[in-house]
Amino acid sequence: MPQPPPAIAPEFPKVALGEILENRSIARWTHVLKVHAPTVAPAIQPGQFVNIRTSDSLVPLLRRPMSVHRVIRDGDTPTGFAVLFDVVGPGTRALATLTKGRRLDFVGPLGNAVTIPAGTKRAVLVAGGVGVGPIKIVAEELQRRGVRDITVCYGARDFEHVVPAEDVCPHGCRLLVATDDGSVGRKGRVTSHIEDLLATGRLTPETYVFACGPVPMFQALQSLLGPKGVRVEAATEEFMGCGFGVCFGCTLRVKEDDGRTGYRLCCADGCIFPLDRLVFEGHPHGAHA
Amino acid sequence: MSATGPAPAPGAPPPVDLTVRLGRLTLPNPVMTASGTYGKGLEFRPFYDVSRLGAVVVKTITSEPRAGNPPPRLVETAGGLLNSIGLENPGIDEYVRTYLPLLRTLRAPLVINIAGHSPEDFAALAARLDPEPGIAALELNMSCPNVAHGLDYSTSPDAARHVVALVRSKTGLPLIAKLSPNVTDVRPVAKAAVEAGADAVSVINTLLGMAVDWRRRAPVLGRGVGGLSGPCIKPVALRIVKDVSRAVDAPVIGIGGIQNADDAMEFFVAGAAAIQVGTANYYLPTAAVDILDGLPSRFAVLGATRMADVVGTLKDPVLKA
Ligand SMILES: Cc1cc2nc3c(=O)[nH]c(=O)nc-3n(C[C@H](O)[C@H](O)[C@H](O)COP(=O)(O)OP(=O)(O)OC[C@H]3O[C@@H](n4cnc5c(N)ncnc54)[C@H](O)[C@@H]3O)c2cc1C
Ligand SMILES: Cc1cc2nc3c(=O)[nH]c(=O)nc-3n(C[C@H](O)[C@H](O)[C@H](O)COP(=O)(O)O)c2cc1C
Ligand code: FES
Repeated sequence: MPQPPPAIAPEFPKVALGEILENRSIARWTHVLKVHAPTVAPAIQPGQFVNIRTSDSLVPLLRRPMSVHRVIRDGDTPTGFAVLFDVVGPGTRALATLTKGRRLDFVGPLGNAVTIPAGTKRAVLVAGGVGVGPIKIVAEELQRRGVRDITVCYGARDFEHVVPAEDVCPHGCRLLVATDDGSVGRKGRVTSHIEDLLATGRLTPETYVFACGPVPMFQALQSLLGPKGVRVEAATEEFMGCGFGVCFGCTLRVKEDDGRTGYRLCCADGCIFPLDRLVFEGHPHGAHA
Repeated sequence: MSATGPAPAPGAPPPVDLTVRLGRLTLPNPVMTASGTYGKGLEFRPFYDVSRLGAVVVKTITSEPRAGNPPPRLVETAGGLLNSIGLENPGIDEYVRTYLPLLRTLRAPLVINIAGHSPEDFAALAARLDPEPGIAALELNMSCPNVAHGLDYSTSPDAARHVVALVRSKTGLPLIAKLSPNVTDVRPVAKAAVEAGADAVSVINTLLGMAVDWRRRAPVLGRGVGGLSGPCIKPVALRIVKDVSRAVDAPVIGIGGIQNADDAMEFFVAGAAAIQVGTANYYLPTAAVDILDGLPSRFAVLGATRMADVVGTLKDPVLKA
């Protein structure tokens, strides 16, 4: 149901030009891009994303959405942000070539933020592959709120895809890694760490859980955590035309209150949703698609 | 130089009169947004003052709510975008109740785009909107490629004439007939729409296309086919604007791949009395106002001071033996 609009136009999101401070390769396919953007940085909430024009040419035409990985601060003042991205196609390939001093055309901040319940004492953050992007900003927010017991479960394909620990989460978090081939951490899926945490009582319905990763990981978490009554905030990723709710292209399916299935916009209603509301049946990137 | 108003800064282009007359519809300038690409309009308020636009055209409304097509609904192509959104909308009742009041707050001329599943349904939608305040015109989406029968009213002159005449009988609002490019010749359809009472025609809606994932031996879009938009369709749109504007005795609104003021000028010269900005709103959210701001300097290049100095001034090609 649309809300009456505020009389004064909202200040955010903005279409902004940032300045690239650093574009650092942190793993074979992965970069961290730091951007000076003092007009936008103070508005960024953990879990939000920016939508980046990766080139001025017509290919790729559309912007590329990227979760904010960190807010950069000068003392207490937010002055910029970083994104962590994998090179997977033309847009991210172009992004990987941008050097210090270049302008970055982006729209942001976009999407909703994490909602960490007051009184949270323990948190588990789950990352699959490049879903590691927003983990650090969420962990930093938890620490700012005094949450000490933070476990990060991080799964990646192999050692070439694992990013260094300092880019996954801040000091003071417990980091559990799994790779498909066992080249770093445990061999197997990231969810095997979740099974252990459940078995040892370190993951309970009182734990705050945030997850970002591919659809099959979300499906595995649904069947592992749903029956235990553990609620999860899932940062979803759908292909986006605009990123701010005007093209209706980024729909995902959710369970409504009345049990029926409806559509929501990943960009404007999310990208963070309660995991138990998401319906992945028939999803093109699902485990059984 | 007019006696009123501030003197222009040195080097600034001379003032231009961008007022546009589309039949009985007068707009402050020729830059409109294209249906389906502008959300509720409110989404653009953080980016610029939406009331500066010539008009805001909203996403197609149908009589019943529509959930839209299954995802994926979008796929990027070289210089363009294929979509199969499927006219997702809350239906006319909910629309009039909750969306229309919001849209009125934009303070831009409002064009409501409607699509019926029959000529009678089109007429009922028009009758329903006719008494609502704050509507500048209706645009008839006679050409959406993303629903069954969606193309019907813009593929035959008789069907187009019938729909427009029936809608005309139900409303005094200015009517814009939005036509499909997915026909051999748009001109007879455009003529029929104008003869039946359309104040203007808008071309083009999206071109029917598809994307294939060969590894899965499957189409990429959930619905199989979709509508192609964006810069890659501009040459097709320009050709159709030129053809239609010379064939009908009514203003033509040009749509298709417009992303900057130079693109807009190409459409004006080719014969468009106004333009709509679609896909560019997605990747250049300020495109519509940037185009508006870019027009005076382009007009100056041609020594033009009003729309009539530019619209339809395309020269015929010089054929060399
Ligand atoms: C809200 C949101 C946040 C994101 N955050 C990050 C991030 O922090 N770091 C990061 O590396 N990537 C992130 N992504 C994904 C990123 O946007 C895509 O990887 C990027 O658009 C690919 O562009 P490309 O031109 O390089 O590749 P393309 O050629 O466009 O795509 C290459 C491959 O990636 C797949 N792909 C493209 N877009 C998406 C998507 N939205 N979701 C899932 N798969 C996709 C395509 O199907 C294709 O197989 C995010 C996506 C969304 C929607
Ligand atoms: C995602 C999307 C949704 C659209 N929805 C509608 C619609 O509901 N009704 C309509 O008449 N046209 C719709 N269109 C067509 C546009 O209004 C326009 O005619 C077309 O995209 C060509 O212009 P462009 O290249 O500037 O986008 C849609 C286009 C896109 C890309
Ligand atoms: S990406 Fe356009 S509505 Fe979400």
